[in-house]
Amino acid sequence: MSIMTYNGGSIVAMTGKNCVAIACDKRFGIQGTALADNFQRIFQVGPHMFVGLPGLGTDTQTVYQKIRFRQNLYELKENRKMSPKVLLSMISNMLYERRFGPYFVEPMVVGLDPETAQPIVGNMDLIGCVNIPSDFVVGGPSSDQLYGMCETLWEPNLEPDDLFETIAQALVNACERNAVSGWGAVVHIIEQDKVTVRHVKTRMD
Amino acid sequence: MVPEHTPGFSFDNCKRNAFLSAKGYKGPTARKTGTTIVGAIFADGVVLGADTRATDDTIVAEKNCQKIHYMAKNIYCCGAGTAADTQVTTDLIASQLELLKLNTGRIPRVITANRLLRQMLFRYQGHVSAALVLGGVDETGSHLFCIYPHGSSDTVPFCTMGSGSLAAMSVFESGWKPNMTEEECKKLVRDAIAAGVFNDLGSGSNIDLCVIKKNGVDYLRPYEIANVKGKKDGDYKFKRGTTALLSTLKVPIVVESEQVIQTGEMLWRLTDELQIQYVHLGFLYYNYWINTLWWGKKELTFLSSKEIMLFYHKILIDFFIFGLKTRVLDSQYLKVG
Amino acid sequence: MALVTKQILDTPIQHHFSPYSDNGGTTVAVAGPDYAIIASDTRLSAGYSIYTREQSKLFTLSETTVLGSSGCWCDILSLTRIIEARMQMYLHEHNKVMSTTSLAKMISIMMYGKRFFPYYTSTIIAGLDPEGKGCVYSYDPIGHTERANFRAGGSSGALLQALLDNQLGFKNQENVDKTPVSLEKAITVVKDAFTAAAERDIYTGDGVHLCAITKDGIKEFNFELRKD
Repeated sequence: MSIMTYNGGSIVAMTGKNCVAIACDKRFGIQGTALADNFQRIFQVGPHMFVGLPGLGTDTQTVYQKIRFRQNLYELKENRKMSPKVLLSMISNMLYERRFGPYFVEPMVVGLDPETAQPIVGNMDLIGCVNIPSDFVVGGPSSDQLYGMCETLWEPNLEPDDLFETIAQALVNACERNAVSGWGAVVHIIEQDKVTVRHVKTRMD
Repeated sequence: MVPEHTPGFSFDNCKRNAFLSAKGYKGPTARKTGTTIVGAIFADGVVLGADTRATDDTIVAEKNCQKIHYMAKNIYCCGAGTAADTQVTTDLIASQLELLKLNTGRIPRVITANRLLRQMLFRYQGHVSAALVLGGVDETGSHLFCIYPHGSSDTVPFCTMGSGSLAAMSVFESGWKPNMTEEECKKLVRDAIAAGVFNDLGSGSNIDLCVIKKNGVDYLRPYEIANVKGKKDGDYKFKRGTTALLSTLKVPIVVESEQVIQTGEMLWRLTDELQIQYVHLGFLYYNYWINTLWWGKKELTFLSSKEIMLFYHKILIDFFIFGLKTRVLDSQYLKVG
Repeated sequence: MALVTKQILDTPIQHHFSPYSDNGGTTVAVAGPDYAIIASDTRLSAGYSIYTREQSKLFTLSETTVLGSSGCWCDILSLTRIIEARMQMYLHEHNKVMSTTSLAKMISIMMYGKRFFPYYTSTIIAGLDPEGKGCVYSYDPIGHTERANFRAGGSSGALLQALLDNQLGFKNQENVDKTPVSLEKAITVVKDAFTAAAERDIYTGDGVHLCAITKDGIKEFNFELRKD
């Protein structure tokens, strides 16, 4: 078994029309044993910016705290908000420093650019190779299933409500075919004027 | 308050990770650029080429990644291997080349870039797995190197690297000749990359080219969209309300107050720190003005405290005016800088 | 020198025999009320190289049954040849063509017969059962079998199974008409599934070979996929 599937938990993020979405399941387990249905893997790091940290649970939390520390320091020093692209390259540098002893997380960042409001989704591998596609990113143990779902379901310029249906269906169906993912799901839709957090009903087995 | 940051790699997690892998928990694989990268020399310069696929084992992780990296204005470098390694290695050496350029005031040579990359890769004994094709033009002519992850390098007129290197080399071996024209060379490099894209499963998507000549660089991304995304026949949009919900929370982003400050020139957006320097500059100009016009002195000297007292009232008035004037004067200078 | 030789001889030397290779490929099958469809991609590969771009992985076993299989290509050939021979024997012995359901059981038994040196395949059969309804059976390499309404197997099995659950099984959807999809709709979904798989799976691509099985016979279709 791989470390990435030790605690479970998958994340998917998509772009829409003037909006972005990020969703993840809520399972936390130790291999086959499910322990909690309220594990947080998506964190808000700005009015329009979220970071998702699929991977080993302990590293999810450690890396989140390191991100927050560095982001706070940046925002105090620079007296301005971090943009998603800056956050991505900051995390990338942080992870590459541990090239030979990495944290087992594959972070992803979603957000609207503070200046242009352009939707951005990006992710990286565990040593910080950044990827900023125009459509979607996936991560975690059910990433194979998510790739299949997203490649078919995603289309450009989805309105926020349609984007929600698409990302929720992609995540819920993908997690249903993965033994270490599921146990509830949460979807965040980020628009210019609001963030909508929806908890989705799923199978609980 | 902030922990000291030591340069270089951190090995904090190594012991823990070794313990985990000894227990049988495999770590995830880093993203690889399966890759076909090539380079070829022609009459007036060098053409570099690359595909745009990055893979995570047998899954395509990125369909349009950039594999031709900037090193200097006259030097570019294609990277194959672990994607993060190629990116960071080329970025690091690019910054060293820029510093070298600023220190020496000369355009960096390709052999310098080659040496720096080799020394960096040799230092890490192949653990930084970057296989590179380095090409560029400098005052000594066109150069092409291929650099291996352990830090050795070849000086060649054409070369290929990555999992598609054999497919691409077969095209070069049959088609390359000395002193080709730019168009001939571009076509050959395109064919070499296409051979990799279609015959090597680790390579795919588009073809990027970079033509480096004495008088400039043509970065063609994409040069050719060799594979278009498949078209879907069905409609996969869901009706709103298809997904069952447990709860919804809407968090509005409320703007409590809004203040618009008109900004003109870039100059006015400078930080406070810089603006203080302008006030100092204003003071210097004022000194100079008094020295030359009032006292008739030719060289720039500071006034004594007594003299300052004498013209204190004038300073108070003119200080502000000159401060403003010098801002306007200096704005010309700063914008160029 | 002698010491060294002795040391080497003292320890047992383990020789590895690896008789299997993974030639990739994906198979998808769907069973409807009066039809069954089965499709495979046409890429045959090993490691990072492509052997051929036009090798269908479908085998028409009878007028009502088609088998699709991916994995170790030589095992697939061997398996299907033996299945065909056993079907001939059945025909001569019982004077009738083997039904899809009987065939399903026979394949399972044949595969389990090689429990400790299995055929390394991910096999699916699709066809019409004796009542004329569509049926799909899937197998693991050692003969575990299950009847299903839709199944994806092979290198993109993980990518596509969740999609089929959602689009053909209407899983996790509320307020939708859940009657089984028509043949045309099923073909569209299967085709789009392969298009998606070809985007992300390096072992799936080049083309799709699809067989639609109805009481009127087997109709074949071919679609193009990306070739990189």
